[in-house]
Amino acid sequence: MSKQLSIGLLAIFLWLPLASTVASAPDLLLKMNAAFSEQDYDGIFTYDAGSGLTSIRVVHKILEGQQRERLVHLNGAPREILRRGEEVVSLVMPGDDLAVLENSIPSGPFARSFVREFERLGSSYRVEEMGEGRVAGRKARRLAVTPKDSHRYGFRLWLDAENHLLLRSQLVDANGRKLEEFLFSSILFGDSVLDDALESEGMNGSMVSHLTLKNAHPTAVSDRGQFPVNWSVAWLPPGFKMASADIRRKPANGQTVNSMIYSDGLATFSIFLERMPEKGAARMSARNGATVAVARGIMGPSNYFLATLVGEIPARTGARIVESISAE
Amino acid sequence: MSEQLRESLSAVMDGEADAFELRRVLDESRSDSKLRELWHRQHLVRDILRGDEIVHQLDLRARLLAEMEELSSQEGDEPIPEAQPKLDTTTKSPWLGRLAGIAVAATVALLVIVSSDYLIGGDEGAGFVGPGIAQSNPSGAPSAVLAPVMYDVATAADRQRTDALIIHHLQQNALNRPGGFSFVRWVGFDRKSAQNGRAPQAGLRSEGGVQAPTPSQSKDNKR
Repeated sequence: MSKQLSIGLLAIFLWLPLASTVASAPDLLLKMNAAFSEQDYDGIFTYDAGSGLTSIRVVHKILEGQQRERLVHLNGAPREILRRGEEVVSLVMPGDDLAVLENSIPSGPFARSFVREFERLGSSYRVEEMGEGRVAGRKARRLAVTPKDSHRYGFRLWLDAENHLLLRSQLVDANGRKLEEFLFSSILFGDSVLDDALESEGMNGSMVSHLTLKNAHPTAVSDRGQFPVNWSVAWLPPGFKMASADIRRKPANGQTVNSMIYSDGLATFSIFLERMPEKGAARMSARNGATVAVARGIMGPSNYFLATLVGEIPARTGARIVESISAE
Repeated sequence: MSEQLRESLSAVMDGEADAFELRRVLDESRSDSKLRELWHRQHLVRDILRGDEIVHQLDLRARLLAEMEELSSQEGDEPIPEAQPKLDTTTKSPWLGRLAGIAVAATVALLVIVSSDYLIGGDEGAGFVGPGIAQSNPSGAPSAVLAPVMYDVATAADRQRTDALIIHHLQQNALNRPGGFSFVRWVGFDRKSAQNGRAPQAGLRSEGGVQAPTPSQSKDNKR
């Protein structure tokens, strides 16, 4: 009897360290990702992308098996985004550039299959637990996500100790300079999240736009449509792979734009290729917080094209990628 | 800028310039923005060394006040456009027609236009390329290959096109990752400078709003 007990105890002791390795730092990231869509929460966070502070309220709740979400811009330009399962509605004031929400012409939005691939993270980032902290009055576990090369940014993350929701994040460059920060100042979970909080109060004079993700089909990367050029990107930072590609028309002028999204499992960038505008374009590099945009001209078989890279990667890396694009 | 001119500038700063040198620096500074920048910076450095930053603090104060005014005008002191009937657009492809109209509405100058060439070209123009002055490419010489189509100073059309692509990128990221914080970037996208019709010199606002980049900042930007 006592022998059985000691074997049982031994089993428990053996199992315990095993259990703690299962909840390893990369595993916490997986839990964080799941928490975004599985938890019910209602909170207010500030967001700083270097150009000023923004306050945003986010409400997320599973209602009758359906994900419902509401984001409200609390200062500056009034904006609101509502999600009901596959339906996304945005409310913005007339003239707000944010209204570019659009369906792509041939096939709907980008491939839905595109999700962060956390299993690939390990090759490009080191994920480590960095002790505990406190955010919005809640106990948090801190994670450091450090890039293994200079072609991507790092993150400092604070996850709720109980339910793993991301409570605070900082995006930092190679020098540890903070480019972007996101921080909850107050948050409620579970039953404290009321159904009413998901309903828009409406905005006087706002424009309402609808988008459905239901009929979105992934576009085959090889589908070139009426865009008679094959592009080759000769240099990519290690770990980045094409996640999706499609061809769409610009709402403003009907011009065809070829776009591709690349991801290393965490960071993403898009490459847009279009015919060079008649008046030409600026060779430029612009930055807004962590998002960089680099534009370069490319010589096609018979015309010039304009390549613009937009993404959350260092500008220098972005420029190097764009420089390596050529028409085949 | 020639080495000789730089020396002349130093001489002027030290009060050791003769009339000819002074004349030369003054003449050159009229057409050479890099020289003006350097001059301003050297004054700044000298003044700080001497401990009389006060002049520049006044500068800063004036700018802060101006920015406060801008901010308050963005936060709703301006008359809100008259309420329009709600548009409900569930019809097919509603975006095309409407967006054409919206898109006209201003460029997002908050994007810090940081130059054309420093990222690629390495260190030519060393020491003078940084936010705010990066666009002063006096030669304006287009690169050989793309001479007919690419230019160096971003126009309103360039900024508008780029902003649309940025928003597009943020939206795609947000829509493909429900609940993720990429939504944050999209909703938080900021176009406030646009309302003030800020010109390409938006670069001046970058990196903490310091007028002339400090050496460490320009180093950061060239890295």
